[in-house]
Amino acid sequence: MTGSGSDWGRVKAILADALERPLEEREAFLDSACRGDAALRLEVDALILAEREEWSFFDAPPPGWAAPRPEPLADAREGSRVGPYEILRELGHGGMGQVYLARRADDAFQKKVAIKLIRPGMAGEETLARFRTERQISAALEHPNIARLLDGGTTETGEPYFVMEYVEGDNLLDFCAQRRLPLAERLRLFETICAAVEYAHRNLVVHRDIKPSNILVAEDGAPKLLDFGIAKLLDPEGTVGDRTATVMRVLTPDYASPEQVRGGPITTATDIYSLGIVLYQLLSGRRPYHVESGEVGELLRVVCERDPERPSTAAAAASAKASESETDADSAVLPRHLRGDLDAIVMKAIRKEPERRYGFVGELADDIRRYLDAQPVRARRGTLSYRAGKFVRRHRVGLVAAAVVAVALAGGVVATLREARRARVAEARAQRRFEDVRKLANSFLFEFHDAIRGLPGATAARALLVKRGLEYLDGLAQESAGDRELRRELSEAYQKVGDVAGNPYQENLGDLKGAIDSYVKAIALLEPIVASGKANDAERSTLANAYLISGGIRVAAGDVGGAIPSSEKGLALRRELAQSSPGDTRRMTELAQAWQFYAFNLSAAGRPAEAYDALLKQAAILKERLAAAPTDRNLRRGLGNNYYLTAAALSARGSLEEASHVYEEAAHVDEKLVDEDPTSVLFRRDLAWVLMDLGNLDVSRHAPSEAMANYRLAQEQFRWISEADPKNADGKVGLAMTHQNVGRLLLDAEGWAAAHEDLEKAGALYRPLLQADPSNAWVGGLMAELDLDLALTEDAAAKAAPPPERAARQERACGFYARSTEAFTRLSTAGRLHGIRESSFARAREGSARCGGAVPSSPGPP
Amino acid sequence: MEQPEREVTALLRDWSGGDRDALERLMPLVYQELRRLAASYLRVERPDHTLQPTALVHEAYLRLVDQRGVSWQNRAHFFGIAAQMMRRILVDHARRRQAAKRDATALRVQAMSAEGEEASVRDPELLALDQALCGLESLDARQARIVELRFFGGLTVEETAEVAGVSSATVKREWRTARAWLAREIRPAGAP
Repeated sequence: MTGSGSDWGRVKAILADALERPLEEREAFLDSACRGDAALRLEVDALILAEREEWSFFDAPPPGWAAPRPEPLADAREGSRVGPYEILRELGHGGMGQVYLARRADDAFQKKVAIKLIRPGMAGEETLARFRTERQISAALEHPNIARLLDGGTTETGEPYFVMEYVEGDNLLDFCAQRRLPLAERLRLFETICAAVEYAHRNLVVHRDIKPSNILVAEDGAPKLLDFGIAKLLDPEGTVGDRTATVMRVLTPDYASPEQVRGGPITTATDIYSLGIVLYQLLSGRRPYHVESGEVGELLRVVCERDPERPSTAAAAASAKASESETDADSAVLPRHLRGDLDAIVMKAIRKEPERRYGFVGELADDIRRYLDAQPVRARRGTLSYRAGKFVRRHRVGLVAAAVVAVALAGGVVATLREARRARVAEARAQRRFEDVRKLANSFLFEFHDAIRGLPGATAARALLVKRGLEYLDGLAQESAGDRELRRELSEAYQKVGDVAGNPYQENLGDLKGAIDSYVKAIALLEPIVASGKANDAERSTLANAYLISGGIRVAAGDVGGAIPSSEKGLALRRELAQSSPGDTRRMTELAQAWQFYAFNLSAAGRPAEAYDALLKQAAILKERLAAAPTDRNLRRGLGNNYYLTAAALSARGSLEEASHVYEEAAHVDEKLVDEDPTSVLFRRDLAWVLMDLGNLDVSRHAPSEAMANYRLAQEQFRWISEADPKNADGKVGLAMTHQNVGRLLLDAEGWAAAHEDLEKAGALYRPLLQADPSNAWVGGLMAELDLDLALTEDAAAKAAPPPERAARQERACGFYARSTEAFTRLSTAGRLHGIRESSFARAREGSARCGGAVPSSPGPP
Repeated sequence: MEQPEREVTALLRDWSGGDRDALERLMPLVYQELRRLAASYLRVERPDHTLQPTALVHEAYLRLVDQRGVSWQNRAHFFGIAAQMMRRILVDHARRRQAAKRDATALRVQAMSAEGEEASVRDPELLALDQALCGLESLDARQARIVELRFFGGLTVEETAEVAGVSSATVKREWRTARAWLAREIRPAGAP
């Protein structure tokens, strides 16, 4: 009889594993599990088939006896007996029968109990049968918040009855309304109820009829659930119509779940739904649905199809109606408190599809707890802005701080969220990651907040943020071994951290070493797979970007020798990518950009001839693309930048005249763009810097009047930018620089009196910038230069002044020299003094030396 | 009824606590009660519904055991014994009915009593199940016992796990695979 007679243990193991898998996976599983053993496979297949076909055999009760047909129950009256119990009085009656207060006749302690007698006609023989089964299950539940089923039996006339623990108290809604219980206490009460339901679920008992009237709260605030498992007795299986009608008759339609109404399988998700409805009512004072007519069709329509309002909306409507009619509404909960998390929690619990609700009651309770602790709730998991919002609320720091954190975290959080969306198998890991991010964010926020409090600028705090970001990412990197996409995302995240630290092409912290370290990690994550030749395009593109930017950072850090090979590798990867997908305009643009990076690094390395060649390559690509799209502004802007860099390369090579022409071409391209879109800060900025450099070239060419004209034109653009975008430091620095340059020209051409005004304007612009961020080396260097300019001006004024004034001016000049020397020294010590400023430093030192020892530490007012 | 209640409860506790003799004294009490209950249902004249034997076991439990005096483990063990007895009672009864039906057929009695007709519909299935379960016992005694507890005793997965001394997960696996196996064994018998 055992089929093939093969080892049942082995067959059973494979069969059990197969049955636990979803249908669509079974075939593949069996193929591998029974590989090569056709007899084994045949037997398992037959068993699977049998299991499916004969399911109903075991679902029906075993064939047995005929049950007695019960006589209608005579009205139980006070003093009458039910089994060993003496009825004291009626407590109430419901769909299924009466509830009496009773006591055990032979009980010396006179302990009171509640007896539920099933109404005659309610209980068919099926019901009686179920009753006997279920009674044993429900009686096993022992929980402080579940009213115990103490006993049960049938009366002499065969009617079933339950004997339950008698609970004195109000139903949940009355209890909360009468005491005007605040939100947090309502939620804690609900949490306790969830814990009781969870306990029952662990014991494989589903309530099936959770509603406020089944939840009594004693005077001391302890809730108790009544009627556990009893609804099952009165909810026989049948056709959908019958089933639905039964729900109408037996259950409370307003609390019935879609699957109960439709006759689908009843699971723990059914109780979660009902708990959601109870919570809805507890918070909003309204039910999400109300079934008016009591017709089956309406019930189906309302419960299964209608989308309920969110609790916050319902609460607002309820309180509006209450104030209109001046009734005493249960308005202890404000609608605005429900908006967001609580709305989301309730709506997740009452979703129409059971599988989209919370998986366990514990998850629902957990979300309530998280809400109370002001932590992110599961129901709303998945949006970055939501989490950022949570951070803000929890720590009450300013929105600006949160925004900075959100930006810096974006890499890590996005990677985590993406992973969280992946297959459920990865959920545990994603959860751990999520917790990591949260821990990190906490640390960011506390430390960030404290650090920023003592500082005028945010730089130090942001540096801390970058440090924490790195620590976190290092942890993630160690785990990422097998996951290619995560590894690529991590590489991107490292690059973002590096950008904040010191990408010279963006706003940055000037921490070039930190930036380089991050980029080294970003590169190390992807280099091996790219070297193996197995990398996909995304990986190669990400690595190319890392090579190119890190080249730029190395140049800024003075490591020109390291910069060139890095940008060469980036360029090579981008060439490959462009070649492997010809006609892909994005890849072409990226290649053009790579040539530009490369050229920039070559220029910095003092190889302007090669830079020039690279820029010609870039220009060729841009022109090719422009031929197809002559009006494309981005391409035109790219070409303008290309001319700008080409001119710089020519200038560095000593071809000043040629450079001047190319600058003019660049200015021409940029001017047309500004004409076309006068509101664009970007186009104006490009133009302004071209004019500034053109002015500098004119100074080198000893053409001061042309230089003056170009500086004034640049000034116009920078003034427009700093007025249109007051927070743009770049615009203010540019504006200040034009004043500074104009002042120098005037000092040479017209003497100190003419120079003074523009130099003072430059100082007035630099000072607040430097105050906001004392570590800003760029502005610091410019300010040191300006102090030198002011010293030279005072020196010149001293020479022209009569003796008494001369001494004062001399003294002031000495003050400026000293301050300039001090600033240059600071920058030099920090390694932030590059090339061109060395000569200025030398002049400042000379000036200070001439002043001798009697140098005041700071200049007095002019 | 006070007397057996107290006695059964105490015996049950002793047995769960490891007293083997307690089981020997317990079994006749349980069997007696189950038989008595079964007989009382069988006396009813016009039954048109079947009664779940597991409910009967429960009825016996309610009558025999003081529920406040026992743990759920005690309960599980009670149902463990009862399940075994229930199977025996059910199978004996079905055999007698089948025999009566054969006699009736032999006598070419056209009209059968309502009881005979109604109650015997699933008798062949029950007897086939009993036979198949014997087959499973020889292959895997523990698995057969789990089926007995679940099907005839109406025990929950956890209770079954307690009685059989295995984990709940094992009970679920055993129950599911046993159903498949038994279903395949029984099908030919149930076919027309």
